[in-house]
Amino acid sequence: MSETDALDSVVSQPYKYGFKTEVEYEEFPRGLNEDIIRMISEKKGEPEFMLEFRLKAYRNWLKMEEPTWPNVDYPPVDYNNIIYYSAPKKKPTLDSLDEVDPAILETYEKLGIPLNEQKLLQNVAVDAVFDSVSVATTFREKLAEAGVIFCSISEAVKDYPDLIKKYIGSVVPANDNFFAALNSAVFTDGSFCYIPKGVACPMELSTYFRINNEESGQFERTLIVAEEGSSVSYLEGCTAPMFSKNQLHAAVVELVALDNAEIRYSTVQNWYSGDKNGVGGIYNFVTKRGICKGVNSKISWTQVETGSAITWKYPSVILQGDNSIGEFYSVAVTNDKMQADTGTKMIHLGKNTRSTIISKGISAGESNNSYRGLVKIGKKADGARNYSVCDSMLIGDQCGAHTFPYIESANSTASIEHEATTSKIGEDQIFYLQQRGLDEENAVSLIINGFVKEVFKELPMEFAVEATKLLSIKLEGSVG
Amino acid sequence: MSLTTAQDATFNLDTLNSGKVPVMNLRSMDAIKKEASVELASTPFPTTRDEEWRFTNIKAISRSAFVQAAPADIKAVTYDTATVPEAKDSTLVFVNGIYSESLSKVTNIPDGIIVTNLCEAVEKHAALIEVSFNKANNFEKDFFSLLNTAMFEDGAFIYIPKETKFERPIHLVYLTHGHENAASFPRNLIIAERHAEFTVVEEYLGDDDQSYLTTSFTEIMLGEEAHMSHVRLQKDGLKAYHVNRIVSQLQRGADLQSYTVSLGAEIFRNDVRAIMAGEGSHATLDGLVLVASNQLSDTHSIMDHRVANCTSHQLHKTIVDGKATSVFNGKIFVRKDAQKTDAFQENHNLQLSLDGMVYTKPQLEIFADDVKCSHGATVGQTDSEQEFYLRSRGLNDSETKEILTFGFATEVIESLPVDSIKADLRKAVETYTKRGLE
Repeated sequence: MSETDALDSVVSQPYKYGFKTEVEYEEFPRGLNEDIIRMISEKKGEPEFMLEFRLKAYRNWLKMEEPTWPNVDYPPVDYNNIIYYSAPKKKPTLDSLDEVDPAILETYEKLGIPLNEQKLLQNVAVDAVFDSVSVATTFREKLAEAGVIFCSISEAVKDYPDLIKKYIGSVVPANDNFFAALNSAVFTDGSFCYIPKGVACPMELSTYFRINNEESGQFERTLIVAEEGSSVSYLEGCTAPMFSKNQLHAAVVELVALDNAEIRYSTVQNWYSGDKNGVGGIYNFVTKRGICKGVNSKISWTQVETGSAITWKYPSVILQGDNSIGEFYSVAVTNDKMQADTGTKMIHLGKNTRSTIISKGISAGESNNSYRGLVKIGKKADGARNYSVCDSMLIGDQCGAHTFPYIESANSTASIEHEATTSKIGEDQIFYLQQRGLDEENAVSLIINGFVKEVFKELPMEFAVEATKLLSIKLEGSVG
Repeated sequence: MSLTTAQDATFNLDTLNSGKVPVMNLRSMDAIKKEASVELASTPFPTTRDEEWRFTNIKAISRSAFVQAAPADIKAVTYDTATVPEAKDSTLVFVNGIYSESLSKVTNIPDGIIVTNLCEAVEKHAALIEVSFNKANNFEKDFFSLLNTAMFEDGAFIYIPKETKFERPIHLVYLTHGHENAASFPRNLIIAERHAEFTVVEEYLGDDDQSYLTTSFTEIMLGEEAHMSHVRLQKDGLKAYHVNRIVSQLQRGADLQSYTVSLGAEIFRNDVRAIMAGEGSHATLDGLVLVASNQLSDTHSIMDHRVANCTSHQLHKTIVDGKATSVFNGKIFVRKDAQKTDAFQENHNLQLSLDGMVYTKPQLEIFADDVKCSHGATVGQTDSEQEFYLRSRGLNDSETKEILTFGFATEVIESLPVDSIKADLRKAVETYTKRGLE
């Protein structure tokens, strides 16, 4: 087997989560207008301020244009041909897992997320979002003991309207960008998480997102607020069945860290990426942003992006509090005709703020993988410090790797370092491993694992296992 | 003819030469100029809404009414060709974009080598011009290259035949002088055949007390295995606007060593492109930018690796003082078939003042897998440990800063090929650091 074949098989593997679950759906008609938004809001029994928030966002969205600056190429999306609300047809409230449609539970079982009490051993609380609505949240009681609120955002809107009113749209304003505005208008569910003062969240929180319905888009919204001196680690995973149609996923994630608080947000994104010829797949247009509002606060983003036909995603941190820290660790893998334009923004406003960016891109097949980042040092950010590394690995001569780092410094006491490299797997490295007795495939796998190690070690234990598995699934079956 | 843009900024072309496109004595040249002026009319004046001009606001240029300088203004100018002794017999002087025979000195040029002004070359070497003129130009729909092509009146023409080495540097001097709002459009064409070897120094000078606009454009065609050293010194007056374009095309095994030093001008925009069109070619595009007070210096470079086995190297350093702004965008393109490319880019910015702004955007766009490409960018201050060391040796604060700043800048200067220019620039850096620390 030649080296190229080995490399090819390393990155090509069939999509394992491509099954569809047959459940009955309750759907709204296609299209988007104020009536649909009113219907969504009514359906969810929202207070008046939420409806206003949505309508304002919608009116703003109408005036906005879809961004054309990302380094991706796709046919125009018909926003009036999408179903904006799609929910599994069942009782509206669920008190225990027993009430969830067994078919859905089976789906999660297949995905490897046992929502049942096994989780106790793993100490992970899960909020699972199926198409547009949250189906189950586990361990709520145990969390409540610690004072942690972890529920779907629809419930939060009803149960904690003051918190929602105070924080929703405070980090990503409704008119922030085209997709954030769309999300603000039509979001149907998502997770809400509130960690009170001085509490270290007793377990890792997690959300699993799944798009199951062929015609629907998914617009979820996550809001995490960490009060003074609290800390939380949050995990997010995504999968979708295989359809020949493209589906839109436009999510918004907002993080707020107050004085001395710490939020770690990890994502393993494995949406369906389309077939070899680029048919089907998810358009993943996501706005993620955190604000280190208080002094000494810290926000850390870790993402492993292996799916989606198109990824457009820039998890950012606004470093407002003095001495606050922002981190971004990313592995983005593209194959076949996938396109990814991802990176981060670190906005330094406070004194002695620090940020670290580690980005690893692997492109294979005919894919294009871009890193786009901004490091901005404000005038008052004395002693700000940034360190960025973005490395790209190219596998095959049909793919592309791009880096667009923007550095803007308005403070002479700031110190910024950026470095980027692009290379392929070294022939001498493969040669060395082979002469130590490894076959070509294992050698390649070992080298790729080494390439992404810096990021994987930032993942929480459970996710690190999953991410490594995901990568090794890509390697499996390559000998032949 | 005046051009309206999105921001309602108008660049007034009426006052330039009464709106007429200067006529050349070569039919094909006239056609090129006419085509450019037609295209210019439909090209919007760049604004900060264009990605390529995001950090460089040139509204000030569009607001002034520039006038193409009249030849009468040229008389009063003096220039001593011995300023650069190495090139005292190979200096071409242009005043307000027009060739000055009396100030230039070109003697003892070996047979075959041509060092002259473009207007004369059009008459005497029409065949050479026809083959190469406007051929390397890959600035499409770019306002300033079209403006230069439409409006230029003269410039330098250099031709080095095959297997010829020209030892003396060729010095091209561009002076702007005479009246407020003078506009000039120097256009240079440099052709080197197989195995040629030579050095060119371009120098731009002007009065500090007058506002003027220079829109320059240099095309360089390097044949197989040709070696060229190119130094570009921008020492314009502090109220000047200068927009420059250089594009060089390298054939198999050609080697270009290009250095740009930017000291003057209120707004300086420099676009440098090296197209590696033949295998095994190498390009170096180094730059040094020193800005202070309200100056803005913007460098956009493209290393275009079109074929396999080429190498490129870039070291771009800037020092920002006062309320000055420095912009750098360095692109490295590696096209589909350009395997075994080795490209390296380094950008270091030294921020001396609280009010300075540094924007930097190194950019890699890679479409081949077997490549080695890397870039590094830093923004920072002088190293505190180095400062401590010098202070412990008895130097005071300003001496320490001066030595470290000087050391930062000289890395680029030391690799320049002409000794007298090196010495001259060292002095310029010294003056700059002293000025900044006062």
